Amino acid sequence: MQMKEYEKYTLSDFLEDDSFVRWAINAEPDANVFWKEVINTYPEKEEIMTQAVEIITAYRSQDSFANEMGRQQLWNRIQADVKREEEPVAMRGKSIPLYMKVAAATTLLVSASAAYWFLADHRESVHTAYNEVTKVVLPDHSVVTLNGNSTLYYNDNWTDGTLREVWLEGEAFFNVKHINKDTLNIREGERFLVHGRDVEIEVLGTSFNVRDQADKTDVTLITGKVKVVLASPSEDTMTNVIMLPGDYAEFANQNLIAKKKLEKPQQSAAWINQDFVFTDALLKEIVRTLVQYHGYTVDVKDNKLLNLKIEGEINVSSIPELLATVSATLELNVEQKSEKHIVLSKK
Amino acid sequence: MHAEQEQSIWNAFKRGEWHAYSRLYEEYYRRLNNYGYKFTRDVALIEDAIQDLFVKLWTNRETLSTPTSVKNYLYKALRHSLFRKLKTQSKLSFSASDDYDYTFEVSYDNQLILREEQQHMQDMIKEVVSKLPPRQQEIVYLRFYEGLSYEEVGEVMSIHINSVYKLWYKALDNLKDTLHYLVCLLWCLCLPKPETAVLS
Repeated sequence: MQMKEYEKYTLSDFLEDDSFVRWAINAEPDANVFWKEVINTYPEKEEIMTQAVEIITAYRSQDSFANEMGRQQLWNRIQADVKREEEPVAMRGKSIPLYMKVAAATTLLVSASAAYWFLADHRESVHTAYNEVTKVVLPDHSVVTLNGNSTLYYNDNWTDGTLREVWLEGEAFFNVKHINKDTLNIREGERFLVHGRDVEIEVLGTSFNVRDQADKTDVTLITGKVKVVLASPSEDTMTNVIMLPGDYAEFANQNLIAKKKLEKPQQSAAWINQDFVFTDALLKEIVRTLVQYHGYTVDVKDNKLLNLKIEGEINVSSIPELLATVSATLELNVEQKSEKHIVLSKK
Repeated sequence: MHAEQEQSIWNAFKRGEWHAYSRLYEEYYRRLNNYGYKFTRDVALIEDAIQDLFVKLWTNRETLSTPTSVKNYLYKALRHSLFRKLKTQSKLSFSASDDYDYTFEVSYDNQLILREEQQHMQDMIKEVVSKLPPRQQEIVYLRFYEGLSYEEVGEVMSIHINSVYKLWYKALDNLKDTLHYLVCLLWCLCLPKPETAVLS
């Protein structure tokens, strides 16, 4: 707020001013200096400022209802309710995604460890809000960076001998601590497994990005080597896909649906720095990023628009910049309905 | 509570740390009761709403987002929970008209010993504010008592910020005549009074 705006302030203007009201009710002691200065600059305003404060103070001389008598009793009731809700959950495994159970049923190895996971009370889960990027340090010091609106589940009691495994919903970048040096002879405690909806990824000291989407899961490998295990639920066969640095692969329903070599695989993890990087992207991929990780609602007037392609590379660091680029290159109108609701239409 | 401290408690609560959850209860129990009491004098109903709110909070903790203000988030949730209860109750007794789908009432502190003029001003404000429709009263309360910005008021009351402005100006309009009178009154108060000066 510019100081000179106060020159014309009337009594009701002060009562309408958010920062003035907050100062008047003592919510912002730090603002004393500022308001003193306003008075010094416009001494003629001191009077109506005093009046405004008096009005607010008179209004605030209210009774407050504390209900202290009920505090402990209500807390007991809440605790009892929570306990009742929690107990059946622990038995049914309600908070565990369905695909984990499917995974547990398909291979003996996983079912044994998953059962352990269900029973042991060492479950940890980290969930990120939209727009929030969080680093999770696993018990073995591997680092997982979680993108917005994503969840990572794991056991917090890994020891040297146990299999390291995590379950992912959403997108994450893994930097796995390398234990094994001899790739031909891997011991149980050296394995690291990532369970996704469509795939299971086995890792040997590596960095890679996993993005679990509604219809597919994609994996980009940056360094090291991973083995993606595809277990077909109907048959007892398993297919392995070995990935090398620069490999990008898409999986759906336990099948490999696309594979290609990327020139700049590290771009897949650009979101870690809250950057938006796309190469030859279709509009629908950009829309998906906005919806899934940033909580946007995007209305597209004509579905054909979703298949428009932006040739070349986009590399921007904010959503407004991204929208401006999309609007300019595809000649689209971007109408901002509210903070997180946009409508795209042809110009 | 500082915003930062509030955020870290909220995050710990989301990780399933019970002490953080009970801290939220300790911290907001009183304020939630006070806010709820403005809508109804049925204390049992307020307690039920707070209970529902906290139980839901714990069961859904993993999927909750991190609000900019925990207090505003809880106010909004309480309002929602309370209104649903009031609605089912009113269906049983009587149906309220749409314009007045709820009541909002503050009671004034009579224990405070006020100067005669201050008492007079309090009476005036009491009278004018209590005549405002519930929504406008609630906005006056959220702004002058809780110190919320227009945007935050909209968030808590689940209405668009433009509606907040509209309602606020209506309220202010209603208050205007009184404000005018108050200004005159205050004008007199602010003038130096030689006799009191001598006495004190």
